[in-house]
Amino acid sequence: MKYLNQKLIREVKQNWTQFFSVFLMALLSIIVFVGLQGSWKGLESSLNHYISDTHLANYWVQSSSISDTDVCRVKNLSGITNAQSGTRIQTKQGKHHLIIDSYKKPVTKLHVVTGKKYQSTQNGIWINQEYAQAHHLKVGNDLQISYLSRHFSLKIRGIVQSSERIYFTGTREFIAPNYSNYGYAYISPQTLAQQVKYHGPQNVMTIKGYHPQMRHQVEKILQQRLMSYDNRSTLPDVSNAMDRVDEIKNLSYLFSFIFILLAILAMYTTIKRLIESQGQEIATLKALGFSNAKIMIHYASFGLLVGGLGSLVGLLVAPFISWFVLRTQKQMFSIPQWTLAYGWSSLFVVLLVTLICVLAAFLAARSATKGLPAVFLQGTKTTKVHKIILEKWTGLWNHLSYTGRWAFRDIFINRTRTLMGIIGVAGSMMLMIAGIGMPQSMTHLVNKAYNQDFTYNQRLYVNNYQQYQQAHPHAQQWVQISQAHFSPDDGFNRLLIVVGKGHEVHMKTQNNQSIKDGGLYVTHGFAQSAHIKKGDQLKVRTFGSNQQYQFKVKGILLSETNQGAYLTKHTWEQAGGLSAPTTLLVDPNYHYHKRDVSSTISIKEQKKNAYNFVNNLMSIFLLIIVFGVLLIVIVLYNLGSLSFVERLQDYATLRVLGIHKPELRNLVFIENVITTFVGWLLGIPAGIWFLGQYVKTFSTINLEYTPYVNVWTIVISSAFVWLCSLSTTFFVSQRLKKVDMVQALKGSE
Amino acid sequence: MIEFKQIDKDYSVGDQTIRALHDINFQIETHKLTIILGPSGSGKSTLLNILGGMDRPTRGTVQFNEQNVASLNDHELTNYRRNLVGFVFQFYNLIPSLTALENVAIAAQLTKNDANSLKYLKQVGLEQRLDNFPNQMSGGEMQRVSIARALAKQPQLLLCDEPTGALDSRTSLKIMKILQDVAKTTDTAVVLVTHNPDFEQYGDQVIRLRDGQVESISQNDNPLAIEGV
Repeated sequence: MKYLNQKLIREVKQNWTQFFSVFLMALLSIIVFVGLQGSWKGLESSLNHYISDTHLANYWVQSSSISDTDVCRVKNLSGITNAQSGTRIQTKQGKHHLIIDSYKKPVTKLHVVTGKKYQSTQNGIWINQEYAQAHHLKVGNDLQISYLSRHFSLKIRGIVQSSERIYFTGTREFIAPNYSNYGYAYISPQTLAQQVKYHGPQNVMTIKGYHPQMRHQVEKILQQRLMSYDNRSTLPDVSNAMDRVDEIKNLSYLFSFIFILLAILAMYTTIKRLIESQGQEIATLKALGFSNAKIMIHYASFGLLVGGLGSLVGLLVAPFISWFVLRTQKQMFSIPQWTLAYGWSSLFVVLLVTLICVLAAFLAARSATKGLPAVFLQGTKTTKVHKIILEKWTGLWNHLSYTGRWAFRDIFINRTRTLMGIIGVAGSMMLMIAGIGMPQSMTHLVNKAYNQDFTYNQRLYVNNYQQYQQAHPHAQQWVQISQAHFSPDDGFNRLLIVVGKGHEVHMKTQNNQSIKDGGLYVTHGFAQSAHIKKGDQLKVRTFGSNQQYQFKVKGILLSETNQGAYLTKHTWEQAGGLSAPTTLLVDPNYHYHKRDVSSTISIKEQKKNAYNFVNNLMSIFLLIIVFGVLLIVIVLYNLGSLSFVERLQDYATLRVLGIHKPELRNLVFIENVITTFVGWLLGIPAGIWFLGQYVKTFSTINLEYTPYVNVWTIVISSAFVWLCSLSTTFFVSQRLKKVDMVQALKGSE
Repeated sequence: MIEFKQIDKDYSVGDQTIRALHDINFQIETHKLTIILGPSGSGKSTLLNILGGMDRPTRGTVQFNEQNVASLNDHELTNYRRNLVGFVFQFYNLIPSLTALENVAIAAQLTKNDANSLKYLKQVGLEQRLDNFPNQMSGGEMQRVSIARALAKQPQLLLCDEPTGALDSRTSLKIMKILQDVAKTTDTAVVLVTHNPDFEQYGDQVIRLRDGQVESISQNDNPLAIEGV
């Protein structure tokens, strides 16, 4: 075996370009799968540790008031291990918003970054790390805070992180964290009473444990006092982190599937052809007396060496990719410890890729060892050729040039080679459309939401609707937003948005209708998950009221943000609903007094925040595009190159017969153009379908992502794939210069 | 018609220079079948490559009509092969996915002569096999297609490299007869390279090579005519 091993190493060196491409394909497949797995599993593991270390609550309730009896009733529910009530107030530190919670015994333990541990008997304030960093706040600093018309100063006792605020946006109007403008803090009940002088009721409750009918029980206990109910799946501060794990996981599986499939097909074909080209050598080894088993093991070791080495290097490089992806997520999520983690499936994929390479080499060598050595030594292997279906259309066929006929017959007869070429191009188109389409879909979501669906300039949060309405009867568009329990639904509370008259809300139904009087309009994402159709009857009970209303679903709205339902103020009031909007949507020319408004959010801020969210994912998309591009180039070059090598003898013959190099280059192009065209054509719908599947995995309870493909996505993807395919043909056809005509005269050995 | 004058051909292999041909001088004429005979390593293939415009000599001239083939550039050499030379290979080298007729036509098209492709297949007795692919034909039939393909270009020089090397003796004689007929009945000079001394009796001129040099050149005024095959 010593000499066979030497032969192996020398042959790998001699055919290094083809072996190197197999090596690269194995490497890329492993990097994408293992690299992304390291990040999503790392994020999952970091989250799980954080959640378990801090005993994260399972349910969060906001209510106009919560009594000790309410807390006791919740505690007595089966499966509930702890419930604590507290107070939440919205304060301001200068221009910035600070949400302060006060608990005697918080259910969720705070993670202390610096300073003292939270104590319910101590004065001062515990502030979140990201806000402190953004405003250069340190333990011991005094913080000037205002609440309603009161102003007070609190000493910072500690810098903390809360697992209840892993993804803290401050308000549901933002989809990404906005740490410089929104912070959260904790103070003791004593400080709340003495310094803030808050003497109102407790208004929040956090609950630990699991009860199967929790939503129903909370509604029963708090009745019309209930303002909002969330669990870990619906509280955006927690669910967004959990969803991100699933997003990267799905991204990893979907892309790796295409990646590995393409790479495996190309690796299998490359190795198989490489070994098949060694038919005469195998025959020589057989003639020398080597057993079939020994020969097969020898050739299988080609696959093991190249596939194994590629996988191994991929495994070594993957943690860098995992770390890169995880680093991009650190800007969004507030987690104390970040770790990388890998599962057994990574090892499985490594083994699979290596095994495919070994198997390809083994099968190729096995078919070459079948039969007598003399047959291979004579070089009498011929291709079985027959007439193809196109020849039945004699009118068309007779108009084809002889080179055209040659190309078409080759395509139909060498089905594996053609299929590989088509799959290679179609797969490349899928990767490109999804790679470019995903950030485009996300950007489109932002543009649609803030340029088309809503066109206001600012959202004003008005202190007193009745007073303001009386003083300004022609104020612009009022919007009333409340959490509601719909029946039927998908198990989650949704937003009910009552829209007043105005020109700032423009979302359209599937039939391109605007929101009109006479019924309820359900957003597409909610309708899909709750199986609601146009014409259905839907019962609605908003939190803060005991009254249930019934509406006919008048249309399904194509709106990606705020998944829930919309209706006009007129429809709402006609059904007996109480109008108490707090949000006024206004255009740039609208003037208001600061005293009438508690806070404002401009659409510009929302847009900027949403783009931050898109940009945070952009690095992952770019990573996938870069790897996709690399894979496309390797796969297409490899397939083109192999195709060329197989026809080298014919090209040499034609050169001897007197065909000029440019004429021969055209011939090489014809076959490639046909394969590329078919693959490209199939790749467009396949790519759009794949993008749809891919985008869907990013949808959450509150946001529905829809695929957006415009002409440019197709044009850019097509241009790239065609460029790759044709330049590959061009580079491969450069080898025509080196075609050895003398070799042709020696016969087809 | 073709004259080799003081042709040398050197090859570099590693640090060594190997002289494949040395001081080769001979002439080839139309209406004649020239047989180049020699054992392995005698320089037959190198000579054929130079004749066919696939290689250039290190020294000397190859005078074809008025032009020196040895001084042509790559483009001109391609035109030389395209317009003046026909090739018959030992292993036929037919395009596997073209039928017999299409294999002839693709070459004939090069000299704008594809309308007559059928005529050349008839000339080699293959009018019944027009639509057959190479894998559906015997070795002898494939070689006849290969000859028809070469003839379809109406070459002035037909080069045959061991055309019977892969065939049985009876089929080999059939091929030899076709080549003899071509030499006699057309304006094509036929050159056949072989290591088989049995064929020298069929040639009008026999050039014997040994170790890269011409050992002897003999003219045969009455070559043996092949009958009854």
